[in-house]
Amino acid sequence: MEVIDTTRPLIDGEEEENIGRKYTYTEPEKLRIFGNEFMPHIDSMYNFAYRLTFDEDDAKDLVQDTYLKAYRFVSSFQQGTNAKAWLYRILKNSFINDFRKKSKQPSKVDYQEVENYYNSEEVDNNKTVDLRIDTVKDMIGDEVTNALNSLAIDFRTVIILCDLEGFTYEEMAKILDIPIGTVRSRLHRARNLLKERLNNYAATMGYN
Amino acid sequence: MKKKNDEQSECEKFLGLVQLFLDDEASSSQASYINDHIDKCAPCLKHLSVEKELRELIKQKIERKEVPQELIQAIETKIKALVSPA
Repeated sequence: MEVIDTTRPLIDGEEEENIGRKYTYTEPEKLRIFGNEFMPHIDSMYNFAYRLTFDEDDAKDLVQDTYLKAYRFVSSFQQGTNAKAWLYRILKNSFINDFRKKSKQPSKVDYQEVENYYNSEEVDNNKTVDLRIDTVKDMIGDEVTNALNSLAIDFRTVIILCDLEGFTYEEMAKILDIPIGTVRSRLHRARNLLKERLNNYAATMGYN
Repeated sequence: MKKKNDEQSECEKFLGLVQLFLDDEASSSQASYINDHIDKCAPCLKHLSVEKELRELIKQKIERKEVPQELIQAIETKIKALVSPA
């Protein structure tokens, strides 16, 4: 059984990337990396932050913190490598360490959902939930967004990273500090939960 | 169900691989298994297309927010202050 203890204080992990490898940059080089490699991702970083916090001001704070950390720890970033994954990892860690504490989440439902998942002896990658796709297609964006937002954070995150941001499993494993096998099973579970929510919406709203 | 054991296990194998396939994480042999299987199994073909549409829906229906300009400016200002402290 895989147990992810999200309460453990994460190493201020961002500078541990590449196992402590440091790169020496001059001040102008740092600024160039910041401007050319980090800032172009601000749009998706902001969207990720908003999907985690559900609040525009919190999202702004989280993104700003992330960028300031990225600048401070730029010596652990290798120029020309995957800046987006690196930034996402910092943002995710900042969210867990700083933001989650003061937010009202997770709700009871969230807790149980996650509990069930981690308590199941093995995740059955074959178990699948049917989705009445035709009814869901007619839904407005809000309903799909609400269904996604109603998922526990661990599940919401993998869907955002995979389906909205197009990260590979390997990148997701690095961003989330979990093995690739866990990425795979969590994603599977997350999509099944999302389908269940969408089916429930469809039923309560009289789509079928 | 029991008499169709072979078919059933083929479909199970398909179900175990379909996510990898749609997420572009399947190996080439896994991908060809999927392609061969859907040629002869209508329910699995249907399943594949529903899964594909779910991913499309997520992409289309989840609204993207525009990043506030003042956030970009705030970050740039703070970085400048770090570089050349007044």
